[in-house]
Amino acid sequence: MKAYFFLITILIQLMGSLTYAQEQAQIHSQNVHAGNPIEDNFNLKTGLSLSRLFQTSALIPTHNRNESHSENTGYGFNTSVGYKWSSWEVLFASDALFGKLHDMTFKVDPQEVRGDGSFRVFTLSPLIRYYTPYSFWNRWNIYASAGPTWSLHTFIIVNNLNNTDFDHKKRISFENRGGSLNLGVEEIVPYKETHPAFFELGYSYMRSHRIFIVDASDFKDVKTLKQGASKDFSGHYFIFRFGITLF
Amino acid sequence: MIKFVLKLMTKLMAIALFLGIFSSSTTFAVTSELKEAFKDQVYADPETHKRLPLYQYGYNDREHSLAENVKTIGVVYGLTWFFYPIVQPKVFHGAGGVKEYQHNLGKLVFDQDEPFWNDFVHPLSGSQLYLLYRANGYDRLSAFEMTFVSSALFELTVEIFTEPASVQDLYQTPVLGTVLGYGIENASMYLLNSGNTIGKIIGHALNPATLFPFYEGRTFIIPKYNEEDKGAMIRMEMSY
Repeated sequence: MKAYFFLITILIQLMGSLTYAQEQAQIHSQNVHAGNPIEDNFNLKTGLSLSRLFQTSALIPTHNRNESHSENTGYGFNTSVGYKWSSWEVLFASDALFGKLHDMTFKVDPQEVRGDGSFRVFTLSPLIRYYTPYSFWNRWNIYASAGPTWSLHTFIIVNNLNNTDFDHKKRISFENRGGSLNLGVEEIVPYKETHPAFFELGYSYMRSHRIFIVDASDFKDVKTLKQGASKDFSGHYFIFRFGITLF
Repeated sequence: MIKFVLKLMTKLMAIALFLGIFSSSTTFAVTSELKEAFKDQVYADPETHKRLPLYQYGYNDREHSLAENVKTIGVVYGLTWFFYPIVQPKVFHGAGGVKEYQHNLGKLVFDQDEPFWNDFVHPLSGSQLYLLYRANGYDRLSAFEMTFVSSALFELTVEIFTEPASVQDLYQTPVLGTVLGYGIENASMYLLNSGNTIGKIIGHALNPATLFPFYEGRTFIIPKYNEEDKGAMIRMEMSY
């Protein structure tokens, strides 16, 4: 009960602090008009990411619902390059995530490969971001962004659990397509040279359209052993990003 | 892998050393000339017998004409044609070639390279490109744009001798390169202006572009202590 009241109090506090801050949010754009618009509108951001990934691999045709699931935590970094008008921004954003893989099975014709290991993800998203006229405590401007996502998901099976002939130097890689939706806050500062910080929560969904089996025995020259169309892999993840505007 | 990294580092160090010695000899000549010109005007404080460091390092952002941009991009592009076959000798051994070039031209893929390449080597080369343009007087945004153009030209027209252009390299070389370059820029400037010899060596090693004649951000500071009227002044010479 105490926790409930505490939560309500916090929510009321937040509602109270959610002020209409059109002027504050536009301080930056006023500065932009006063100075060099291209220099001031452009921004490059970077930061760290923490994500929870839910991955599904279809083993035999999807309608039979024979699937393998795995939930993993991924860590990494994010970058974005954008051009901002007063409330809208067009940007390219990317995440690189790394994590451990726990007991997942993949269909690699003609066999099923089951194992533990690690994964890495590279995503690239052209996004449109809208900066709302609202802020928390007159300091954090609320924004939302959305856009399509292209990603490469690479799995490294180190511990082969069903003893198939699948070398740990081989990688299973999926090219995916999907979309992402993000909600975040950015620090309101008059000049971007003071490196405004941002915090963001995002959701992404992806489905594979191509699969690659590659041989990374020689890390200088990774060879593609097999490739083809595949819709056997899908996944979604929640991601928390935080970082700063570099310039 | 360690062997390969050592080999790569040795090659890069040899190139840097060669270029460094070349530029150092020019620097030495300029310094001697300046010392000679101002020998009667440089005084140490008679009480502390100390004077300020000879050089102050920084960046002078300036406008560049389109012709200058094209020329700079052209020189860097030419250097990539020269250095790529050295770093990738397989181009000479049949792995790459004109047929491969034609096959890869216009293709854009997600590459399957290891993170060592995509998250370290490419951003590192991007950072050095960014620092090179910064040294030549480009502001941060322009240096990023020039890095993007240079790396895109390399990716789309040079590297395709051995592999198709990749999405990761096109994005990460200039973007992560600029992020890394921004950090190196700040760290190296701090070290170069620290007045500490080891700091200066590390600063130049991190940011070798500061050794080249095209680096425009070095200021020559001449302290002058006037004993007669107990006044002091600092004379600064910008090395353009």
